[in-house]
Amino acid sequence: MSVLQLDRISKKFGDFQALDQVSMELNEGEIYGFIGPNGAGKSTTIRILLGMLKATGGRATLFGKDVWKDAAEVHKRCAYVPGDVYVWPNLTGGEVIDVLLKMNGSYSKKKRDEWVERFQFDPTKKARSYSKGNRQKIALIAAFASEADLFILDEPTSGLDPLMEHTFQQSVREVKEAGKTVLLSSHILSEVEKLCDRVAIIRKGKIIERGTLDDLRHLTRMQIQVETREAPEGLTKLSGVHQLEESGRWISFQADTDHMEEIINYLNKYGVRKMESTPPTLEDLFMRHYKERSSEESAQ
Amino acid sequence: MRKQIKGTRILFPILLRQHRLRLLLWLAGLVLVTCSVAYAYPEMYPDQASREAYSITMENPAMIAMLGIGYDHYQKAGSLFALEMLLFSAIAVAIMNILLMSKLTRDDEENGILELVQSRSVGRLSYLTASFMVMLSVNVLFVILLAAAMGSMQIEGFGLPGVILYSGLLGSFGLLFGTLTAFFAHFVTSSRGTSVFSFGALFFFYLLRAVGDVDAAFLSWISPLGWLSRAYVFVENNFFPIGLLLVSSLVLGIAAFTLQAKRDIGDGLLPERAGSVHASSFLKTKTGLVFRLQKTIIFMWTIGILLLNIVFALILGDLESFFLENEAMQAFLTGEGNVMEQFIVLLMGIMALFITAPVIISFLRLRGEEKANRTELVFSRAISRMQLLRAYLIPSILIAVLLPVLQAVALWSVGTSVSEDMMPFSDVLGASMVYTPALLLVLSMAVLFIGWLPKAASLVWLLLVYGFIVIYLGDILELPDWVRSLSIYEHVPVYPSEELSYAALLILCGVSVLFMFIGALGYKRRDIEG
Repeated sequence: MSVLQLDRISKKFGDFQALDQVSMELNEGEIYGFIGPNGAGKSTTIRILLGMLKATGGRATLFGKDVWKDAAEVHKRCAYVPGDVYVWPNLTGGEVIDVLLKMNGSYSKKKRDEWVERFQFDPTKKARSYSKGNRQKIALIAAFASEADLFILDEPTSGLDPLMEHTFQQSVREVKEAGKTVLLSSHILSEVEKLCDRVAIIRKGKIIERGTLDDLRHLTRMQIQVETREAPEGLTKLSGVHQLEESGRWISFQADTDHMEEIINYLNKYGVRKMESTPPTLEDLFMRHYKERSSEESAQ
Repeated sequence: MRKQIKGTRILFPILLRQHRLRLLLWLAGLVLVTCSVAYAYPEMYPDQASREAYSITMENPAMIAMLGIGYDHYQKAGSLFALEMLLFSAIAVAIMNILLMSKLTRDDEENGILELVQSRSVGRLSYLTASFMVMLSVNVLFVILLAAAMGSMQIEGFGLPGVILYSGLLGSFGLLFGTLTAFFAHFVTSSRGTSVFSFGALFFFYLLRAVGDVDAAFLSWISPLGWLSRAYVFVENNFFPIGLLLVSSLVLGIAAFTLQAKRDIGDGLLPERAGSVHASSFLKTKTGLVFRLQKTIIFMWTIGILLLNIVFALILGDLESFFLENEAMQAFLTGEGNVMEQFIVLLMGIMALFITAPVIISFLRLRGEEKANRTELVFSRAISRMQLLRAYLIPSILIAVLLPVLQAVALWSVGTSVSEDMMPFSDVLGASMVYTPALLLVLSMAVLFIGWLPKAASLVWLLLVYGFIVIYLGDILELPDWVRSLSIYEHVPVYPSEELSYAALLILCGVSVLFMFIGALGYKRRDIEG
């Protein structure tokens, strides 16, 4: 069952096309990564999902209901954590958490206190004196202590320390195990890599790539390091080999996955002694996408 | 010392540029209003007889409490002008300086601008120094502009030394309040708190002077507002009060700089208590949250308005005996009914303007929250646009309804204790409550703005400013009726002097409801910024 569905969503601010036909579908129980550089349209997409901005085209639903018309109703089943958490400076952290929880109806005090404990949060201070990370904890606690079925997390860990980031990742996994759905927008690609089942990459308001991490890797190159008995001459002429570097007997290069068979066969002739291959990290994928697109654009 | 103010030269033009438009509008408005009123004076009071007639209207405790002491037995048009304009112009200049300085000090610190600047090779006192330089330049520029404009008009009865003294008094009063604001900024940790303290001080000094001028002159000497009238501007031209203002500014300024050098960034000198771990059940309701966010400001305005009513009620007894002695007084209050009744009607008209402020402040907070990105988290919960709008409307409507009731209770109960002929409570209540529909109409205009033109929402303050100009200066500027009728407050029936026109009140209420509805429609449809 699809929990969240964006169908060709567009948004214009005046003349500026912030989103151009963005489509996305999240199934129940999956963690979906949403990545892209600053200003690509991630937060705009999320704000449309939350019913704060009205899409200029397309249709967006949460749990089968319209995100704009039924905003307050569908939010009963959602929990949102923004990247920059702004809260009322003259309320204490504890008060803010309670107020936010209460806005969705009744909540379990026990659960709330457990999450406060888990994120090691001091709820007695006035919100104005909290650091960025602590303000983020307010939103995280309010989100995880809610009875939500969908978690919309917009760069939720940008202010957390490594320990708390670990707690966060653990929490997301637990939420998934409980059969809930997560949309995770993040800059920390290793985090997305660890947590997400599927990923969409957005750039200048358009989704340019989507699929499972494995799907995406097929589109790209493996990093290969190899030691051979004889120097493999003519390797550069082989199609699918890029960025060849030699240091003594070691050769390292990038290989297109669809040419892998030919490359391995070719190398075999020179007596392979050792070989290491690393799949591309999400960061490699990401960088490659952006570099290639930018150079294409500048060429045009 | 050099090291402490390093970088001031770079900061000063930046800070000036941040505020120049707003400041220019303030200066233009202040100079324009002052000059146009001054221009009207010689014509209004061309001869001694007319001036003496005016003096009779002014020499009663109520007017003295409101405007300050008269002097010179009303020989010169200039002294009449100063009596009517000096105090309130000074308050306006003080407001400009309080708003400016709370932005330049605590607000910039709260928003992290100071921290960023301080991380560069910039002295510890540079930001404050640059802020002071901006504030000082504004006040000096104001003095020069006003003196030049008024001086060049060469109005009869407005000698050049008087013009210079008048401008100088206003400028140095502004300087004092700018400095006072910078001083208060060290004690609290929010710009809101800073301006609350500063406005509170301004208000306190006004009350002190009001009581002092009527009854106990020494109190007026404690209040900087009291010093202003002691300059006897345009007559004796006593420059001594300017000295007093400058010296006290200097003392406060030194204190502000000393504290700045000692204080941790982001810290306030008043201690903060540890807060509660859980929200109360009141806070967990939507309206409860809105109330809680503004409780200080609502409380302050309520106390302020009640105090003003009590001060004026206290002089009601004096007022009565004064009027018994002065038959000629009847000319002043031209409407129907006895003197006390007319005075109360006038007072309620002015108080309605004051009550408008908390009504608007409380509602416009919704826009402030949006600009501060704080509605985002709220709307991500199961809260609809209409629910939040309603949560903000309720406190404002309650203020518009309850504050007039409270003020009537305060005015009447104190009034009865000092005067045997106090109006019946129902009349006082009516005179006060009759403005509630107008307050609601102003509120509904704010709803319209929030719904359709959120960026221009603060324009709704112009309704209040305009209402003030019409009530306060309408006669002096001889504004034609149609110009007056543009003010919402002019459409309120005069009660109890006139028959109560329910039709007018119902129309005001009906239009308010309609505007609120249209505004809500816009709010429901538009994008939320943050």
